[in-house]
Amino acid sequence: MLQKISLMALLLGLSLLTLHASEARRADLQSTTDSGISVEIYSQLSPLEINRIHSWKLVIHDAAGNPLSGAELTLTGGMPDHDHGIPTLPQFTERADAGVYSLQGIRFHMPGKWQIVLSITNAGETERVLIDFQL
Amino acid sequence: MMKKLGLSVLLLGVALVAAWNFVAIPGSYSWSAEELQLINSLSIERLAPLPADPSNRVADLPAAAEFGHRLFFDTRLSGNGSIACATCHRPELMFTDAFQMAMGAAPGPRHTPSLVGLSHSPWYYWDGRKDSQWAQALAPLEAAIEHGIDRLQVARLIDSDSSYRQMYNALFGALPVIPATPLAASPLGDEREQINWNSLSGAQQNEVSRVFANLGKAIAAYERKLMPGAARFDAYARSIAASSELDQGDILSSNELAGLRLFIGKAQCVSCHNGPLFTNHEFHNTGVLSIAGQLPSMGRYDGIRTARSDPFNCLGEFSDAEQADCIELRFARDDNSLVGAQKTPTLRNVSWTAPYMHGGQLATLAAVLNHYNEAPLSMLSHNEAKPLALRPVERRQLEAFIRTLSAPLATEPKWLAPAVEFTQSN
Repeated sequence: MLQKISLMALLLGLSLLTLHASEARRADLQSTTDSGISVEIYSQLSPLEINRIHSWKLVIHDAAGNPLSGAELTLTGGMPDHDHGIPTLPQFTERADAGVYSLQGIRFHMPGKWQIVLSITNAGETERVLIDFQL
Repeated sequence: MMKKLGLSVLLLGVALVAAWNFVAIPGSYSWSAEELQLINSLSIERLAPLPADPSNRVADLPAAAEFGHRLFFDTRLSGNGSIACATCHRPELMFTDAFQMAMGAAPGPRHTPSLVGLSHSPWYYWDGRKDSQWAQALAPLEAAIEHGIDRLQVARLIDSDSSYRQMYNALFGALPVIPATPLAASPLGDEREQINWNSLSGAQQNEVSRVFANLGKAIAAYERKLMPGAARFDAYARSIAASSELDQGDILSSNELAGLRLFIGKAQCVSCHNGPLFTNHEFHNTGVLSIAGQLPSMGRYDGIRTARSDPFNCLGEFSDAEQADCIELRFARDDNSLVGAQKTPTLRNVSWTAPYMHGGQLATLAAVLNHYNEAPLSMLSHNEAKPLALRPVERRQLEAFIRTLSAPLATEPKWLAPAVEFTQSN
């Protein structure tokens, strides 16, 4: 009986620990535009890996640190050394939480240096942010 | 004196040419952290569990694999009674046929690809015109040049074979009443078959197509068993996992190791032939000569359009998936960069599956390596590969490495021959 209780306590502790870890986890990719808009990308696959289609959560804040809602996002990019783009056509949707967006259907198909270009259009102004990463 | 000098210059020249072709430049004898990571990423031990196929609810049911196993080897699934899936996808040849072009009821327009490990791919056919293995399995049955049968006759075969009918009923629920006439009917058949198809009611058409789709799902459940085994390369990858020493001459020879270094480095093979299956499951234009007597293939550019309009695709009425599950189909690229692009094949067992390319255009691995070394202009759109300037000795080293990727399948032997019950009952 005691064993069972301690096992359950252990399991509960472990699950709390993982829950905490997932909330406090670091962004997989992040960058800031010239005007100070910050972008944090949390990947469904963390760390990022090749050949698996997946989705991203993007958390965007304006220069003052407030969640940036209602922005229009586009994503392009590819491998600068190989002269090709991303093999899928991922699409954005805005989530209910302020400043939070989803990107569905992203996949990378080669190891090496990747670069994505995120365009953020807000109140008629478009800014671009370049993010380089290695897969 | 002058003669002697001339002879010496000549000999030196001959020696230099010979050295360029045959003498390897001694390589360094350890791997960098980056190289080690790449080698490890190719190991079969890193192969992820087979992804679920939400469009096929029987994909991982043992009874479906048993049913599909019998269908796969059954020549009654053909117009002339002599063609089964296994006719072109021969187990002893890694599920290829050794022909340049497939040979079903008539010569086909493409080279037969291997089925080994293919269930990991989101796309099927060289041009990716099918988005599931079960949808792929249906098309050859109704192709006049392949099995040359039609969905109505296929459904009738299931109805007429009590063992098949039992297996079907257990997996998919009671087989519907299959119309006794007409003899043959399909929306994709010849004119007569199409007229016959249109003579059926909408409900009958739907029922017959559903039976047909279900048989594809059973065949796919069987094909999901066909997985590559650990090869010499994998033994090497395992051996160096703990150490960055090259482990000279033990598991891989120095030529094979040099080939591995080229594979993940200068030759850039790993750009597309990556991961434990040595494929990124993507589509690339690599300037392969068009097939003799055919216009250059539009490749994936047409393939994705066909996949989207396929009634058997992930979003169609015969799929078991929710819309949200059909991520590959919904977010697939379809632009001009895909003109002339064909699917990257696995390199597992590739030394046993000659000839190569979508039309079997290249007879040997050496010819394939020469092709990538030269990277000729593409007849359609542009060749993504660039010339590699590999010396002849380097190409031979690459080939030696690629040959270390062949090994017997990791599949239980019973799946590699016709089902025992089947041969007894016939």
